[in-house]
Amino acid sequence: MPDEILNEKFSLKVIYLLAKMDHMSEEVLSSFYSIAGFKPGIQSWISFISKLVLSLGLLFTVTGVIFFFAYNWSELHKFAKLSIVGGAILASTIIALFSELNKFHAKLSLLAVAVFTGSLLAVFGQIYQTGANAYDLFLNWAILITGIVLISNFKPLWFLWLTLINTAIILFAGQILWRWIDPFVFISLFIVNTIALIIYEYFSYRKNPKFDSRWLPRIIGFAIIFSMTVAGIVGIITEFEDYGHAICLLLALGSYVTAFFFYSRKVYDLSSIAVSCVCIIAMVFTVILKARNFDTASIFFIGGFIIVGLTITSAFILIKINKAWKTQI
Amino acid sequence: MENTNMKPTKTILDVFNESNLAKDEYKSYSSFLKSHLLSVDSETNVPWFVKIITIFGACVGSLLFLGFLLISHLLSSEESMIITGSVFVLSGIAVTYANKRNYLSDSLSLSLSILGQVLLGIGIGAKAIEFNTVCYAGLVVETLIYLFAQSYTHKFLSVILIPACLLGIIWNSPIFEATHFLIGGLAVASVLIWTNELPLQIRLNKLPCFFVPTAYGLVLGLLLTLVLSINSKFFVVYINHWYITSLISFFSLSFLLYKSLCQSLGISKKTFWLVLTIIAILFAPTVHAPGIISSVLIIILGFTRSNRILLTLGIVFLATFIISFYYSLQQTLLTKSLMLMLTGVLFLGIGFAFGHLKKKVAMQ
Repeated sequence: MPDEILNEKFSLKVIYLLAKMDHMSEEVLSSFYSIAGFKPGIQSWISFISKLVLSLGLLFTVTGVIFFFAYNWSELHKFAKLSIVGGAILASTIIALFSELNKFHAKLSLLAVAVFTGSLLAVFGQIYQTGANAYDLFLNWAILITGIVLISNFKPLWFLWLTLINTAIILFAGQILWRWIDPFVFISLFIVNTIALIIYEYFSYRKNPKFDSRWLPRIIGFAIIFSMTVAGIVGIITEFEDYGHAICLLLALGSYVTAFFFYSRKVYDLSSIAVSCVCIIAMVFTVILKARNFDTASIFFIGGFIIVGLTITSAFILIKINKAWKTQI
Repeated sequence: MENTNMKPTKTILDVFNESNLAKDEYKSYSSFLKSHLLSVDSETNVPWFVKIITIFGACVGSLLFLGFLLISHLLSSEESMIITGSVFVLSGIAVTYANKRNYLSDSLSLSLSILGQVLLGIGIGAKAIEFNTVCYAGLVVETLIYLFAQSYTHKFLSVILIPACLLGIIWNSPIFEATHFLIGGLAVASVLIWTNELPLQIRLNKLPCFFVPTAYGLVLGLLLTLVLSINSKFFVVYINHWYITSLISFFSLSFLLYKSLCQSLGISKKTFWLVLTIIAILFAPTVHAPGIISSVLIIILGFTRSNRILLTLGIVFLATFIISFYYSLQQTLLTKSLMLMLTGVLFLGIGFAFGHLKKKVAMQ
């Protein structure tokens, strides 16, 4: 066995493995646990509690404001309503302005400014009944907060911005073009999200510490793979009446191949490969359903075996990739 | 310098070197890890995504096969469903014994087990008519699977389904309020099992499939039971006195903080009581929304154990509870909004006070 395995990170998995050893004592295991940094010290506690309390404070205040305007209190004067949201924006902006932008509370303040901007637009629409479409709100909201998002370097803000752009695209297609479930809407979303993912993964691959965290690229990756799979499946069922679905199917297949290649060789992330596996299972199952012309009894019988078989194959592939990656490090 | 981001930063070699191990100890630990870390068959080495895929595939596969059995009228009587269900459950357990270390057999055994459990449920339900009987039978079956199946996924599902059966029994009785004690029990059990993680792992080292599925299953069982109970009006069940659940969760949080702050960090009793008082004040406005304090409990549990899965679960369920709270009909939106804003302002105030404390500690 190679000695390089000892250069692997001392994760909780290693603790779980060592606990299985014969004659392992609690003292030794506790000592490994502490040295590895799993036991938070006073500095970690203060840092964690400070972040947790501020995040919860922001979450509750923002949701409280949203609930408040959802109540649509008729006795409250329209200027009072606008002043409440305006005041919240002002207070958050002042905190952000007088803090260093790399501090957590400054970033949270910017997030609050971004969320309250949306509330202000919604309240404005609620009071004056502007007749604007919902996509206007989301698009304007995204445009207004773009500057904040760019300077913040805060992933939850980027996530909010991308969600707004995605929502605006879906609502524009539905409300203006009257095409709610359209392959070209899926393709537009694919383009937007793929650009975002490529930018993120480029910097992640270059080991830029600002792009170290994995939750945002995972969510974007899931959204890309999942949306293309759904559009591809619709295409299979409708026999590609709209050629846009064929493009979606090709993009879906391309996404699977890219996810397998990139996340097993360049940036190790098994989760996107796992999602691809689930989507491939769904795709194969749909093809078989279609081929059997949705013949119920045989589909249920064959389908059960196929799903279990493909799941076993997927698990086998994922374990192999996991092992191959480990031997590389 | 402390590791404040909860990600492992040290290598196995670093930890061994810093532990000042004797030569023979070093040799035995490193050779054990070398042989186990590269083993594909080891359950510990299997990423959790693979386990999720296995559960997903097994559920869908077995439900499809169930559909086939029902459509083809192969199982037309209640007795045949019960017998076939029992055979499938037992076969599922047997497969886990046949090849314990082969992870790939897990999907097949899980499919058999799920299929058997659903068949048993339908069969018993059709024969007994009363839903309570199905829940009692489910309780027995899940306990048997938990005790005898030699697989993480089987035990994990059983740990989640046991509270579900208990919930069914409570909701079919006149004492809906017992739900608070079920949720409270799960909160207490989650804290106890995770705070005793290391001693339990060592004591159960001959039964490697027990700790991980039980510990994660209890946390997920707690959060799922809460989600169901908060939305219980959909099942025509009306639960009141939510402060009971909030109080039990608060006591669990207090115990967790006592273990972490007083016993591990050695902070004074006076400071501990001050912390508890602040927490009580902070959460007082949300006493009728127990999901909030319960998710915060799981988030803090995740932090104390440096466990990112628990932390993520806590955050995801916190968002879920706030959405559920929006639709709750127990208070008006105005009351709920004022309650949330008050809590938010309290939290922000404490947060900024903590910021100053952080600066002070950093300067020292």
